[in-house]
Amino acid sequence: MDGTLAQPWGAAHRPLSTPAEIETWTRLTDGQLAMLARGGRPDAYGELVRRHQLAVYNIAYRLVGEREEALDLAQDAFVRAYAALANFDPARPFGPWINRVVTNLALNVLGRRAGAPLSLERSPAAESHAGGGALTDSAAEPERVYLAGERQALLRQAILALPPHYRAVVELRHFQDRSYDEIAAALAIPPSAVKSHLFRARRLLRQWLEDHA
Amino acid sequence: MSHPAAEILDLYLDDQLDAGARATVAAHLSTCPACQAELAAVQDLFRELETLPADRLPRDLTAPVLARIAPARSWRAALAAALLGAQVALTGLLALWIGPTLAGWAGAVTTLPEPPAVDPAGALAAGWALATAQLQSLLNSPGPAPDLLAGIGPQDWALLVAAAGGLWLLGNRLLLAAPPEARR
Repeated sequence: MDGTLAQPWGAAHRPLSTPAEIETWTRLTDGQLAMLARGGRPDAYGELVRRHQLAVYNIAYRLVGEREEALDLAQDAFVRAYAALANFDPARPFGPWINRVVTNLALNVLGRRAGAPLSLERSPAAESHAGGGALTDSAAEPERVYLAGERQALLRQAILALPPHYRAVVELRHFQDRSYDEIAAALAIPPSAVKSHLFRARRLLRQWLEDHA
Repeated sequence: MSHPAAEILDLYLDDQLDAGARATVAAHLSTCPACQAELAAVQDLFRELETLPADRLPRDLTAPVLARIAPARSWRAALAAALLGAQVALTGLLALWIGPTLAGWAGAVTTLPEPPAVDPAGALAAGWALATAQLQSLLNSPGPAPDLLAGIGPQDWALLVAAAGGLWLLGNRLLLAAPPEARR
């Protein structure tokens, strides 16, 4: 990764931070960097972006399933989080905070795709999958993946093949380690729906893996 | 005991059962190979999900994010805006006041314009009048003026200074312009 930051406001493109400053950033905690950024040093925020961009992008990618869209969402999440830095408590970890921001953005995208806010209540997508209990694999290439022996790639495909509302609960439970109550709050659904949809999502994943492995 | 429902095994692994139900399921599991196998299969899925490596980041997001946030809140951007504003003000003042002075220096007029009347109500105006008078006195005897400049009047001088200032500002604006990615 390039150690210099582009100077966003100047045509000369000299580094916004000197190498010594960047070295300093790497020694600071997330909370300290957030305080500096809040105090008018956006380049300190650059270090926060560097630290968390991989996780943020992956959350977006697992939820929306498209790399370019995930990149845009990750970028939007960092910009929005920067605008809301005044609300961030530097005593708390930055990672979960920014993860929530990008999760909400991605869930909004999934909700728009479904034509309604994302909910674990029955959606058209859920209906289409609940009947047969099978996942779509229209975008997947299971044979190629199997031949390559890429079990993890297969699992990624299985996740992306889940209906969006199932994908959301899997993401929140297995990748963000959220409790049932937190998932229910994030998706504005009852905890009982979290249980049932997690169960169905796992069933679908296992079935898909068995069918394609 | 009959086999627990498959959903109960999920809840058992998620630690979502109360103590009594959990003990019941545990007791059944200890004696039921079929349920042990089912539980192991679900555990395998959990493990696979939780150890799934992160997907590679296609490109670094630092620069584009900074390009979008820095113009709004950077103190450097604020300083640049303040400098541009000061330049605009200075150019206007120069155009207004130095035109007649230069014209007098060049010989187009025989007497320098009088300093502006001091507004007793405005300290700022009084200070400005004093500064102007000082400038004019400095330029009062600059030595022989080239004939070339003799025909240029005060308004011409003012226009020339304003045009030069405008070019200067335009150049600075271009230098301080945000790159394309910052305008997104």
